[in-house]
Amino acid sequence: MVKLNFKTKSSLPGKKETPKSDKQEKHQDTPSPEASKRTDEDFDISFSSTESLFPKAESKPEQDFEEEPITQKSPKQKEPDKPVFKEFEEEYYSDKKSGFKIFLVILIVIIIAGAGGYFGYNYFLKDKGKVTRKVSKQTTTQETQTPQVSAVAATLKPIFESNSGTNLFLTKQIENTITKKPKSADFSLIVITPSEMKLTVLSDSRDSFAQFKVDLAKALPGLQFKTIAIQSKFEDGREAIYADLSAPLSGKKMQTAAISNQQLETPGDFKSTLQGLSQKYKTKIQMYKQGKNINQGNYTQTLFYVNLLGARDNLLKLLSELGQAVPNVHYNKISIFPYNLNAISDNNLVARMNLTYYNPK
Amino acid sequence: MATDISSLSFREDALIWTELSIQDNALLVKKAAYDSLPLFLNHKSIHQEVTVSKLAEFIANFMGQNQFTAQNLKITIPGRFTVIKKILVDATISKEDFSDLVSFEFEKSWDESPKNYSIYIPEYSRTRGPYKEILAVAIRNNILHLFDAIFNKLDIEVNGIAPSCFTIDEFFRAQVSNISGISLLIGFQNRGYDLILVDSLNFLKYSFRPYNNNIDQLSKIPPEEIIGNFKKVVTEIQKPSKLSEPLHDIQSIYLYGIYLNPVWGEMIQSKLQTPVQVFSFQDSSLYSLKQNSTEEVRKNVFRYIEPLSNIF
Repeated sequence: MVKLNFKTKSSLPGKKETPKSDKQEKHQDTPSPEASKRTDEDFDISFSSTESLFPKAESKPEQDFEEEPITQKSPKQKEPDKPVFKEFEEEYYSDKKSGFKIFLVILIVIIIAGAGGYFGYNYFLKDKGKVTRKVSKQTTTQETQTPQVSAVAATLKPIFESNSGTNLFLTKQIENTITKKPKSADFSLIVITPSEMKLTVLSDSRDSFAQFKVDLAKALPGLQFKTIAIQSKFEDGREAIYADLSAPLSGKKMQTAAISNQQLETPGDFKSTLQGLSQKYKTKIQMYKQGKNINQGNYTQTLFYVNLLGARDNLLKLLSELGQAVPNVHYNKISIFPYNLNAISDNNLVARMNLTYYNPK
Repeated sequence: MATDISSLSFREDALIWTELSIQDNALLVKKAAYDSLPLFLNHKSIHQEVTVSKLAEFIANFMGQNQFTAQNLKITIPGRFTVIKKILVDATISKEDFSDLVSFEFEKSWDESPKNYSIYIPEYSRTRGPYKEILAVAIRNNILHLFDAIFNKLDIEVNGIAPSCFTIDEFFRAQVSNISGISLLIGFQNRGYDLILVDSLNFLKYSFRPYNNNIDQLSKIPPEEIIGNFKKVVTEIQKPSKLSEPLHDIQSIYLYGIYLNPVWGEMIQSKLQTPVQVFSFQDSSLYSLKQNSTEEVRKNVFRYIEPLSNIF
């Protein structure tokens, strides 16, 4: 009996404000595009400043050296030079240009010029060479570091490869099972895990079911299905036979595409990936629940439970693409069943996924 | 000890009221009356302030004329004032997750904010193969506010409001003790059929189907057209055109409603293989109708099925 009284409180509590999406939260946590641009600029400035500041440092002593006698007091380190010039001028004009003094002055000028040249070389030209070498050395270091695999990438690479292989195997099995199904009966449920595949078969008689098993063994020769339960039910006045079949799947691996370092090192967002694929394949996310989050040092494992509703082919394509393009995903269990019908057909199906998402930190 | 109930059923354009007393599963219907509403209840009118005052005034006059007391008042509203959904879930999904699934299912079918609706998940038990069915009902808050406002204005306390498709389902089970297979209960309303599908286990489905594409009133449609459409409707329920195999195998059909002409039962029967009968109290039923009940109800029980069904 259906008992309902609208005078009582509704079964579902008042609608909460729509929570901020992960996408929005991500925007808040990560810097805005402007901020990231600013950071990039900061980095560029700090790097190029060594080059841009270098000529200034080089010219400044020259300026001081030239202008000091005319306009301003020389810096402290130049002060000892000043009396030399002063003394020279006084002696030169007072002693009426003696040849010895001229020679002495020329000698002093040569010494000073030599000292200035040496000073200039040591402090500017030599440094410039050093900086250039330093820069080129740094560049070399960077070049050699880039190809090195980070710790997290090294840890996740075998996991991602295994995920991708397992996912491909599972989705291929589902696809084969659905497309090669014999006509003698229908599936009402397909459940697959990395170790086992279970089918619930709906047929109109025991004879039909027996024929179906023979046909199934021919259609899917790689799978050894055993009948684990069989029961008859009356639905809408007609007899229906529900039988559960099971086949082991252990030891099946499949070769997958190479996984890039970017995939291994860049944290992903499962929800937005799923939403994108769901939109692409016109499926509906019936249920999305995040389960346990396990910290594994430099990466995390998060469990997700997802129900997707969509047309058969679109749903299969989505499962395949999610399992391949996103190797962070490891399918733990996939259940396929019809939406509002008894048997799986071309119509809308529901895929219930239990998966683990591996994410680098 | 007898339990007195005032049971009022609203239709889009009518109201049916019974005042009854129940003792030892015997129903004594003391008073019964129905009348057309001064306005049509629809999406537009339920938002208008004048609707409350007009209906309150009409009900007050109706009660005065028929001397209804409104003691222990229970109300039914048409099933089509609500959105009824059956949601199929994997049997492994826990009950705690139902509310999320239900909200999700409903929100996809609404154009307006989910905040405008209240959602109810009544106790319901039905499995289909390895799956479980959840029954969920949503109603616009505006509709509930309308009835609250009307009866607040009349200063009458309302004990319960329920969609008539569920109360009729329950009443039918009490009346027909040995239900076998699927039964179709058809309520003849002013502009269409209320179709309630039930089986021996529980409620199956509710839908509303107009008599014709113009949604004309019954009085403007020739009986032949009604009978012709009836066969089409039953066929469509049993085997929707999209399916290659029948979806339901209807074993019996029961007719009720204030607009039903009992003569049509025989006319319909002549067109269908399925047994057709007018809904009434049966000898084997759990509840019996006392002989000293009002003559109008004794003669025309099928007209009062909606208010009579809300006795539980």
